[in-house]
Amino acid sequence: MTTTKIQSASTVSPAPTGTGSRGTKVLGGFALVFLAIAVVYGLFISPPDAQLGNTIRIIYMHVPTVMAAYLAFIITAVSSGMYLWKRTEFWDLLGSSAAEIGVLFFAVTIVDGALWGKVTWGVFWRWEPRLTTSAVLLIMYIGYLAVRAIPADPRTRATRCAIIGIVAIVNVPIVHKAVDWWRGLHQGKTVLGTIDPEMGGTQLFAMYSSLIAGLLVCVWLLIHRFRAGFLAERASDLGLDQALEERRLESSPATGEDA
Amino acid sequence: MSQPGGVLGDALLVARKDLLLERRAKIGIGQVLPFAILVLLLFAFALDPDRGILKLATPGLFWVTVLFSAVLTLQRSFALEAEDGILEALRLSGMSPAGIYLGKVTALTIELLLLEAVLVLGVAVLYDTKFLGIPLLFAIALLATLGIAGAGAVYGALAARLRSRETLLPLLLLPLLAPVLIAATRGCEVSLEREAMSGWPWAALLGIFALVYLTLGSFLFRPLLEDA
Amino acid sequence: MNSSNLTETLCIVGAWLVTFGAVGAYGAAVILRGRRLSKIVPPEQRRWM
Repeated sequence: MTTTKIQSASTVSPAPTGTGSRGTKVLGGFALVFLAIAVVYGLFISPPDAQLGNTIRIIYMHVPTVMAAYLAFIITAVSSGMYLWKRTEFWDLLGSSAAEIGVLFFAVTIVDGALWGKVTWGVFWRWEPRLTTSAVLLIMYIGYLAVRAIPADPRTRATRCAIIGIVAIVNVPIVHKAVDWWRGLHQGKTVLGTIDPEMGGTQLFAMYSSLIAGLLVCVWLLIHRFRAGFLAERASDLGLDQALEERRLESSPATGEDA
Repeated sequence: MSQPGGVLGDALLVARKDLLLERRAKIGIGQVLPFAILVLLLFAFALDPDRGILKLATPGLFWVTVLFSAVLTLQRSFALEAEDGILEALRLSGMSPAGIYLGKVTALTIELLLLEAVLVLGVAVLYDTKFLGIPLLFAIALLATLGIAGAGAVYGALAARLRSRETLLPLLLLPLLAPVLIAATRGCEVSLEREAMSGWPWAALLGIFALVYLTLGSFLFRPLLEDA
Repeated sequence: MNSSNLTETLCIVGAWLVTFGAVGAYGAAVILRGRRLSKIVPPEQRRWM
């Protein structure tokens, strides 16, 4: 009965065998185009910056990743709020998927920032406001993922994560302010992570294409991660039946029952 | 929910219950406070006290000690509730979640302020600190403690029922409190005359932090008690 | 002078490699996970819009 239903459904139009769809393919294609432009312009065509020299090429990676991370964290926060309101699996999955991607991009941002620091200051780490803020926020969202990873009833887990998602985003401006003032007493304004309005044409082009590429990749990853999370939930719904079925199949040849 | 006491009445009830429990069990005085003083001693061992490093770092060391002690206090406060199912009982008794939250925060704030008072004496004796700008110091201690308790109660309640709460609570809470540590430390440095700038902006930042987390906690405590 | 140029080049290339490597590896892991899971989940439950 069920098999015929599945077959008839899949003959209408075959179900996808992964988390891809036409939408994600188009999106991914655009992302690749912008990435290619970013590589060509960012690494080769654009000239070194008057102030930053060649290290501006690190900024071409640093700015898109930090923007993508903040985009992801904003999505997490909005989803967290929506989850507490609507209580649907969609918002829970969207929020947790975005948090994971945000952590990924933030970690990359910090590594890029440290490499920039190595060239500019001669050391990997200085208590530069943006780097410091990023480090604190990264650990905050690692806490979110840690709670997410604790097995629990879906509603309980989703509520815990939603609360952390909201609390964390509220803390972002406070951490920014505190760290800015904290460092503001000791050193001048930083150039790291700002788009200089006096940038030349090709530099601006490289910056914006890498920024667009970064945001597209972020959204593309988010869609795939969301779908993978959705599939994981369905799989765990099936989990018990599945496990019983496998046990039965494994034991059947040996015991000879049901053969 | 038509409680006779309302939110504030509930808060007072919960705070009194918590303080009474603490007075009977004496965990704060018997364990957390000795731990905090021990940390002060350890800092002195780690940072050579004769070269003035200790004096320079006093505000930072003080507030780090307070944060660690706050984590212990929170663990203790919410572990009791979780083990005995008191939070469920409070919720089922028809008390408002915001009232329960504010009550927990009040009790925690009072406990932590007492701890800080003793620690200040310890710092004064052990690190030879001279205090100036007492009003600023008071304001910073009160606002920072309110912020710590306000954020801590949310995460304390959230982590209480998890088996990994001992490791999870510091991981969740300490990055959240990083701005409090920065602001309280810098603010105290002003009252110890190590910074040229006025300390009141730091107090204001601490006030904003406390206000934001008290508001947030009052709203989030309902889903927290019901589902988390 | 020469060694600082080397550091600069290494750091720039390193930053790009780290970015592309980490994001690429994560993307690949997610895609593979999705494919593995779609073998378990029945087709009527995995239709994307």
